[in-house]
Amino acid sequence: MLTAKFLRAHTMPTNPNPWLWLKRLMWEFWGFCVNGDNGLANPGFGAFAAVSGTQLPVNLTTAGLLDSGSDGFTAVGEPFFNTVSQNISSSYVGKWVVMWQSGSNSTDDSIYQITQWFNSGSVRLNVFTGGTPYTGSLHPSLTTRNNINYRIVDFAAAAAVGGSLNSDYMILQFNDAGTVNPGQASSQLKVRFALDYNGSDPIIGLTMSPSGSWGLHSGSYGFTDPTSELEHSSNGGGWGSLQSAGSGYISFWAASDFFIMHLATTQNFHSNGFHVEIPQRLYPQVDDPNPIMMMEWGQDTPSQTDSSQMYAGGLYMHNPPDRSTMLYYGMGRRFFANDQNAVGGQTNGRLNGAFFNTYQNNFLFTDAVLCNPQTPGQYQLARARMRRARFIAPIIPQFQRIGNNGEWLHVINGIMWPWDNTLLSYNLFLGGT
Amino acid sequence: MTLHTCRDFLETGVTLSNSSWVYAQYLTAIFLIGTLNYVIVGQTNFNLASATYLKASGNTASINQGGNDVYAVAVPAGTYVVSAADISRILVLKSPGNGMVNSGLFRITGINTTNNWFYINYRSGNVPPVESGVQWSVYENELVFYGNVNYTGNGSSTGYTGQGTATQSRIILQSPSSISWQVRIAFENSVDTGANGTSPSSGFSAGATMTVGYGGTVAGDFTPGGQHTHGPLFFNNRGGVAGNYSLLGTSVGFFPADNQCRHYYWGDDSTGSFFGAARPVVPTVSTFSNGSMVHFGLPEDEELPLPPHNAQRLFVMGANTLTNGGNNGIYFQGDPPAGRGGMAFGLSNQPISCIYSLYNPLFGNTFGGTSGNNPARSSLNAGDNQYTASTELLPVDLVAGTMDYMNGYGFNAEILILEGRRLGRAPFLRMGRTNYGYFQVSTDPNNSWLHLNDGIYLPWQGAILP
Repeated sequence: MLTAKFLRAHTMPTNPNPWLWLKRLMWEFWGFCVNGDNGLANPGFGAFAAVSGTQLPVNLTTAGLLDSGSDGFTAVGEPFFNTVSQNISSSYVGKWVVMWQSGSNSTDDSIYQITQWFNSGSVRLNVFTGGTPYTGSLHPSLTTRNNINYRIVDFAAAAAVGGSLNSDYMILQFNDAGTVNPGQASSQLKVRFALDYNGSDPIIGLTMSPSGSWGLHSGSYGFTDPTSELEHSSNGGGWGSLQSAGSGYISFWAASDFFIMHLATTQNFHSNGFHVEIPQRLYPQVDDPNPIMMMEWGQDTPSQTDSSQMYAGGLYMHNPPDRSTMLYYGMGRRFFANDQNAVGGQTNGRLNGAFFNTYQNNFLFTDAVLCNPQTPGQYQLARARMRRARFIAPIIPQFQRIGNNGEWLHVINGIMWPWDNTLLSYNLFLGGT
Repeated sequence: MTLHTCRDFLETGVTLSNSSWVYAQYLTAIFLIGTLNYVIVGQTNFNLASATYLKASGNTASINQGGNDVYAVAVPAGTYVVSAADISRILVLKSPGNGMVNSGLFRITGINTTNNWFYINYRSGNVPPVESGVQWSVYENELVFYGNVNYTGNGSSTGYTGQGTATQSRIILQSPSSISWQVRIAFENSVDTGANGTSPSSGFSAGATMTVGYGGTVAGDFTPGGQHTHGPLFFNNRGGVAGNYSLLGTSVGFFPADNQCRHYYWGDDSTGSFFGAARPVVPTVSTFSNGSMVHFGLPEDEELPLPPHNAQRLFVMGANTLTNGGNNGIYFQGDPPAGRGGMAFGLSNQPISCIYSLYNPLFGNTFGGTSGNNPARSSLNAGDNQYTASTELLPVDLVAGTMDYMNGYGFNAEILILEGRRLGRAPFLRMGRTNYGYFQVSTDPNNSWLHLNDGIYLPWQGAILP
């Protein structure tokens, strides 16, 4: 499914091991909310590489599972989760419901904290972390669904299992890569929860396999076409205090062709995250069969104006001609008739009207392509077009919904990520940008 | 869509002192009429339907008579009998099946009275595909037009004077498009351009303008307040005289240098969209020595939903000041100092800016390139793409309403409404690396693209003369 699903500002309370909390949260969201089938114990088929698709601490994915079922139901406009079997304990208040339906396009598929217990068959959820915009108000709400699959999870219990290793990983598989680009294999992404940045700091390491080649090769598990691992931390210290006790806010954007993470801990008002997606292929299929791109930031703020990292200068792809990992620059449309004045550099003032058409009530913004303009002999003007980000002048309010159907959200600094037109009830980046 | 090109029509005249900017209006107009089937709506001293200019026309010419006569074009004697007087005139062709090579403007270099043939300068090393049923017309050469053109006669004493009873030459043509949009080709008189002693002497526009819109009159004018892209005419304010320069640059045109030029035109006979370039035979030594260009019509891949009025779908790009002696160059850049710009018609129902919107680094990156700000297309390391072993080309968007003034002087800025809006994709052209040769064709077997300058590429077919 290419419909984006969201985890909006999941609150991670102070706990002794936020690193493990994050792993379990990703495993639940990617394995069930985005890729879940009707199995309740294991992630949906193909969510992770088929063989040795995850390597995580013992019991991390089983600890804290309080209950599960397939008889959940919700009603439109309501924040209540109900089960036919009436199996919900009052002790579950404060725990989380992971809900999904197999093959669903609904953004109800997400993770919600239980905030109130009514009876064994009905609880109130903090619906703002997921949900679907309710007609009229556009506030997140649930829709009318039956036979909802669910898992009730205590993330604190999962995080308590301990045992994080430098080699913990998940091999995310993008099963709709072939839907994006005809003939594309299900590309894969290795997310390594590394503890070795600067020797000991936690950081996420990203390695892509365009062909989705994870398996046992020459006696050990790995890819046959890996990119170099990307670890990025602008201000040192890896991804900050994830290894020790802490709290923070985590947001995910994902479908079976992309994953965007934004994580900010309350100990540091910068954020960490990454953006991996299957971009639109612009070269012939025979030359570029499996495009996939990645970008990461750590201890920083997402930017389109930093020429040496992130969207302006920190995009990476596997380069088939020489099997290297190639750095790409994001290129967007410019709107001032010259080769200067990028949209990300516009400041508030006289030209605001250029970016908001008052006659149409529409914003003017740009897509971006991946360009490698300066490697001798490897000039690539536009190899692929990003599908899951757009760029606008950073003169408009943060969290402004943009597009005819609110399909983009201005998250920060003129960067827009996919959205479902939901009106946010609170700051998405409560822990910082 | 059927694309027709005029491949390299060489002006008559002398190399370094010509009147290309006058010829350009005439040559463009007869291409629009003879090749793209535009029709005349109205004119003043620009009567291309008169016998002064149009000598004959028909629909059954044939090209390439074989043997030593591959460059001979036969026309039926019952329609027109060729004569020595035709030599140096211009044969305008519309090919039914080879629009990229057999359409366009061709100089008549000789005749064959026995077979009623014109011999033409084909301006290519290729042999014309044999073809019959070619639409043809014979026009007087551009020197005759030059002798007749009027660019001094003023009309009203206030406002924009080049309208109504003004006698300076101008014409309005209606495109073959299903939405029947029109283009005005006008010489601008000396009062309006401020070239009669006022300052800045560059006036409000180039000495000749091209304007798209609706509502053309029999005199060859759009109306003040009407639906068109000519700023001074819309506001009925010459805006280029001392004390009021606000409308400088808000009308654009085709304004090549006073050097003898070679003309390259592209046109779509269904939408009427047109791109014209003039390339000096001997470029002057100047930053802006690379000719001139104009581009107008309907975008491709228009943004949906379409705007309420069809005029709001049109655009025109071209030279917009005399600042550079008319030698405005063939470049994408169209901000005020460039001497080039673009106009569209806004949702505000008045003329607004229009620009080529190019892909450039999101921010801050320059790449040691060869032009201006060294964008990615100008990287010193630019070359053929390693995946496709060819020059990579990208579509270019047209975006309107993002600039509030168009003049290079900064006077009375903020005259244009801001209402940023993508119109669509610029017809025909693509952007690519700038270090491809000046007016060089691509090396694929069909030579399917021509690089003009600054990374501007247009469709092509076949060889090109050096």
